[in-house]
Amino acid sequence: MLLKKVLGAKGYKIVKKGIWGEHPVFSACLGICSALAVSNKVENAIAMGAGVTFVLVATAVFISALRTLIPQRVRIITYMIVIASFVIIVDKTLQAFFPDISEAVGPYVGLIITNCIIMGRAEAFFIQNKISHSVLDAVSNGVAYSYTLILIAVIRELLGFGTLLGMKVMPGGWENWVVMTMAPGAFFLLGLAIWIARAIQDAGSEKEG
Amino acid sequence: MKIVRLLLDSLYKIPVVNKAEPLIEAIDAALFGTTDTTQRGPHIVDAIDTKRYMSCAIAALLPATLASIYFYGLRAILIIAVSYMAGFFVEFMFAVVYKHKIHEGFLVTGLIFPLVLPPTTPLWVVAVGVMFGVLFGKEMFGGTGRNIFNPALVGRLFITIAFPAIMTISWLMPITDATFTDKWLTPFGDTAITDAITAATPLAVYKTTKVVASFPDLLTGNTAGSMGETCRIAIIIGGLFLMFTKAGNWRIPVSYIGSVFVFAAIGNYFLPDSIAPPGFQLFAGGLMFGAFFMATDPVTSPFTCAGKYTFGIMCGVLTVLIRSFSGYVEGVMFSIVIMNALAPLIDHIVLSLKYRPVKV
Amino acid sequence: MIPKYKAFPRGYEFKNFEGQPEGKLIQIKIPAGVTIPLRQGFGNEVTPVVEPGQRVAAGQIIGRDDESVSSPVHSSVNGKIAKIGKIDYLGREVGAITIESDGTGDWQKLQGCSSDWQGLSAEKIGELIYLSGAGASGRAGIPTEFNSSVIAPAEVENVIIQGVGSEVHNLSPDVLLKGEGLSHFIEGLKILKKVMAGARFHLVLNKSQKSLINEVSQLLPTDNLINFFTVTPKYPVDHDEVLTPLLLGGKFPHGYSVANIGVVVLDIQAVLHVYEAVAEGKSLIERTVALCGPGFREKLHVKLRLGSPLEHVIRDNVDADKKLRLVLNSCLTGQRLSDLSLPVDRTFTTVTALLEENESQFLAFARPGFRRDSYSRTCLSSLFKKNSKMFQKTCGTNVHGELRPCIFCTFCEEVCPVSIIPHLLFQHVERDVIDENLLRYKIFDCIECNLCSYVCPSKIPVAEFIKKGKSGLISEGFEIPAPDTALKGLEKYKSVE
Repeated sequence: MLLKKVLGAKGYKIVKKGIWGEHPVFSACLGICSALAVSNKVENAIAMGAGVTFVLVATAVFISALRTLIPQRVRIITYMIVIASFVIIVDKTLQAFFPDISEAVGPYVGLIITNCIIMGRAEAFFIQNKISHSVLDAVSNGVAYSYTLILIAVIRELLGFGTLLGMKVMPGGWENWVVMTMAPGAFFLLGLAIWIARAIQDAGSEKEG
Repeated sequence: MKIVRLLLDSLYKIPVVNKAEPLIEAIDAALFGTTDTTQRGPHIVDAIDTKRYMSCAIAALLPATLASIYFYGLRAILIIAVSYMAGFFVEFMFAVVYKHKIHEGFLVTGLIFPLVLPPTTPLWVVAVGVMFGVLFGKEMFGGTGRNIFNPALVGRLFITIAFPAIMTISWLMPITDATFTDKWLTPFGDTAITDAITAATPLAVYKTTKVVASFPDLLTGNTAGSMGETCRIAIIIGGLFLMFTKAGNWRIPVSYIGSVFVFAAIGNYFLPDSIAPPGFQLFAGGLMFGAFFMATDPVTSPFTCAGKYTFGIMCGVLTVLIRSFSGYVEGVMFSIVIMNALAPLIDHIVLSLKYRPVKV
Repeated sequence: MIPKYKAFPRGYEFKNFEGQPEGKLIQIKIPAGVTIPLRQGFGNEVTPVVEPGQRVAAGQIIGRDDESVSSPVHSSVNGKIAKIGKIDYLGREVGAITIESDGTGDWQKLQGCSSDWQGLSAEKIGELIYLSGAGASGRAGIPTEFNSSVIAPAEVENVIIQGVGSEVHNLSPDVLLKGEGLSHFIEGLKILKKVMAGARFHLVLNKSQKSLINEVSQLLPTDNLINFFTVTPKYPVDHDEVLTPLLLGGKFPHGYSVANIGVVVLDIQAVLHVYEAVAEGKSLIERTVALCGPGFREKLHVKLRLGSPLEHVIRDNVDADKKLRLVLNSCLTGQRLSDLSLPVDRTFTTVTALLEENESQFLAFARPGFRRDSYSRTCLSSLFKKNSKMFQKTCGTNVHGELRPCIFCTFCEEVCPVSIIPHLLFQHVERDVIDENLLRYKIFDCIECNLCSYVCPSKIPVAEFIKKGKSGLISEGFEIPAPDTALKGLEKYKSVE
């Protein structure tokens, strides 16, 4: 409720929608591609989540600040330029400070440019709303994407490698689930996650209705 | 009997326990049958129901099951028990959450699955495999009657990919010279397992050395292989029973085994180096088991007659191809799963050839 | 004349069920009162031509309507008209005349009948058939120069006489053809031959009734006027929709009757009625009905006056403490007879008393099944001989299992007599996909024999779903596909309700 006071009624609604009600992965199935690719280890997931969140927020600020200036016809190109600039920042930062992760995440950082979540939010929200609301929306969507990624990565890393953030946690004699380190494992887990999340969402909306 | 009846009736009423209503209902239906009568025509109906239908499939699997228990002792019993329990747990949870009845099809899945496992499979892997199979092979698609893939095969393939180390190396010869205590009484049968002779399956032996296993050994099951697939005599007896009772359609096994024979004969004539002789192909590996018990699953195979023949023939061709030209030594499971995916397409083609679209 | 065997590859033979009627025939006493429905057998309802209080004789016409397609109805007893009203009869409201009987058994002869019928003109024979009420026999009547069927005698190309009996319980042709019956039957055939001179005649009998086939083949005229066939009694081979294409080739005009393609299908009893009408002048006032099924104390054939209340017929033959379900003519498609005060009319052939099995059985699904019938061979009964006395199959109304999703066992597809795929249609209708795909899969070919519902291991009422699909299609404006051949007597056919 404190959150509600701080953010105001509309802001609270935006955050709630972003984090759960209109979850980008569960509800809209956006960003699936990168979610499948980089969720094999928790550290990759954190890096990817942080990167996407950063790009989202920065894009939100820019796009919504410029929303009255961007001509209707070239708006998509404008998004691309803005997003691309920030993605390059993220990429270079990773290369400079976390070379291991940069290597592991590889081309997927570059592919943040085409991450549907960012393009989607820019087109659906940032271009129509004021800066503060856009930032709230960007943060909540980024958080939603990140926690989904991390959740799946935790399970995949535990089962696939027996480790968590690189540390051995599973007992001796643990047999690695090879399938979890491969894309099919992510498919099954993401599918399950979407299934469960939607079941809960449906149950919630039935209660409200 | 009356006491059981009273007990069941009271179970329906106890508040917390009756959350498990699907289970109580399943027991009730199995023990006492139904009291419902036909409403409109037909006034009398056939005495078969799905319970009986599935029981026949289980009865057909019994010879192979008994053979596997005879070969591998307590271990085999434990694997089968774990498979049933874990699979039933998933089935039961779904019945509770989605408020439907417990469907009998699971009884067959729960028995086929352990029979296609190597006898050394750790019990927890058995549980993971069968749960995965029931969950992703069946319930995901909406339960019995709607699944695309044979649930037992989905589980088996999952653990093959997930645990390659466990699933590909450790084949065993039947345990014949272990002591009674080791074979039948040691918990988990580990002593017996460690004492037993590990060996490659006949198909793997053929792949590396081109040595063909002897037919008496293949028939009686004196070879390494999955628990239930080695004793071919038991499988053939069970399979014939299945065909006789009409619980399995004869067209698929006949066309499957027939096409393996024909295709292997042709292939062996032209490419004797890579394709094994037809007689050996028929009795080695999981072909008999797969053809009789897994390809015949009515839900995941085509329902049209022409489709069934096509399904069987293509399964046979794929099996020979995978056995001869891929990195895997055995191709029965893969070919059945691939054809499972194609079954709706086959039906669609057959139907569109048979029934021309109507102009309205 | 040696019969030709016609193989019917589909359908299902009901073997060795308990409660088959024995060869015994008893005469039921004339009841104190009869109720004669004004619509019996094929045709429209007729108008009464008598007044309440009037005295009538057995065999006297009490209702006729020469204008519309119909056959007259007769008083079946000597007595007095008590009431002319309406009753709810087998699911539809029809007019009915109630007559108080004086108990005498004699009956009034039709005028102009002659045991030397060869001397009569075809026209006169037709009139006798019409006046006797026998013209209402069969699914579309016997064509005469009067309006008893939708076509005229000259339009008939084929006449099929069948005594197959593919139902679970059947009236035994031996009883009908005992003694003089057989020669009467042959005479009846000749009479029909004279009325429908241009038609080819076909006689079909049950393959397993060897002695009857022998006798008939000796007596049949050797001039090759009649084709003689035998068939295995696989249900529903004796339904018009199956029998006609099987014997004559071609396609059945689904949505219409056999008469529309110039075929008349009659059973043995109808031929006997024709003989009695023409040679003995006896109107259709009496009929042989088989009482079968485990619910009757004695399974036998009874000869009764039409209009006798059902209760009067079965009264001495049932135990009051048993819960029974009476079924008319067929265990698979027949109507349930719940009101015992209703009269027996011309359409009654068998009345089956089934036991209501609404009690549970311990371990019902796992029993060996010595006495259970199953299309699959999962019951031990499939190992026994066709007529083993010890292991007669039970027939009760229990559904023997719980409703489950379809598992594509294709049993329904294998037995379907018209080669459609019932489970495919069921899948469509269950998901409410009622569109031209149903037409494509030939839903209107379904003859509603209910065999698919019978064999289903998942206990799905497949046939119900198909019926629902048909009515859904019609309400959405789709039409039954028109048959390829030109149809006869269409307008008359449509005039019959």
